[in-house]
Amino acid sequence: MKSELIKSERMPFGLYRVNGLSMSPGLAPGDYVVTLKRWRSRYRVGDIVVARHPHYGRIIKRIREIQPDGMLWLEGTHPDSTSSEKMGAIFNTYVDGRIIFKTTL
Amino acid sequence: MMYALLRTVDRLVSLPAASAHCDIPCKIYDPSAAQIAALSVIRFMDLINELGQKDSLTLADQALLARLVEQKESHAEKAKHEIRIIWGDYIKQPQRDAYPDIDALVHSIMLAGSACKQGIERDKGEKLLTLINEFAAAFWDTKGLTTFTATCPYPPSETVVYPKLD
Repeated sequence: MKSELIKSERMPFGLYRVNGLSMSPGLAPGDYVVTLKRWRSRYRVGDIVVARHPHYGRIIKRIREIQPDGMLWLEGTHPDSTSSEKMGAIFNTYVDGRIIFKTTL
Repeated sequence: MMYALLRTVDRLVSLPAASAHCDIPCKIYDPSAAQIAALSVIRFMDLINELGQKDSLTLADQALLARLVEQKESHAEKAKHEIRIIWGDYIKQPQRDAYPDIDALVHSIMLAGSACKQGIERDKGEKLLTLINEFAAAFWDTKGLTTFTATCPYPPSETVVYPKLD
């Protein structure tokens, strides 16, 4: 069971715990975020999103650029973040949702 | 309040984690690896020049020479690599402000390292070590550590800058 209670693929909402520092200072490790899934075309540059990356797994990043074909370039907000170039462009279907709420300790 | 509630939920059902992934900034930087590589370069030059004293080289000598040359070159490359890592990953604007010449120094280390690959003259190795020592002194200073120089207790018995860790 575990997380399936909270988050299933069909549910538009997601609830996640943030790990890592790459989204600091906006998001710190241990923060909780709620995401809302949007239609794939409705994401905007600057949105903070949770996405499933083929190599890095479930990541939380900011949208840096949206290609005309819908592929997304993500970025961290901290200089030490894995670079956009290293992460590469990902399909917008891999985005689980945009952050609509966060809570910090 | 909200946080405490979510925290409790997290403990009960273990919420999925979203990783704000970093490029593992391990913060382990130490110029000693470059210094040891530079000492090795000098040592290999000494051993190559010892072989040069002989009137003729046996097959075994020639095999040894081949190994020494190969190792001299790979250690010169290692010295360059180690300095590049510290320069690229650790040296940022605050360190550059403290040592405005650090980029020029790193570049001269790159050139000196390449010169060690090209030649067998000991002074080329000594120059590489001197420059890397200079870099090490600057590096430890940016860490707030003082340094001292001592002769390394093994061949080639050259002067090395060490951090004072007391």
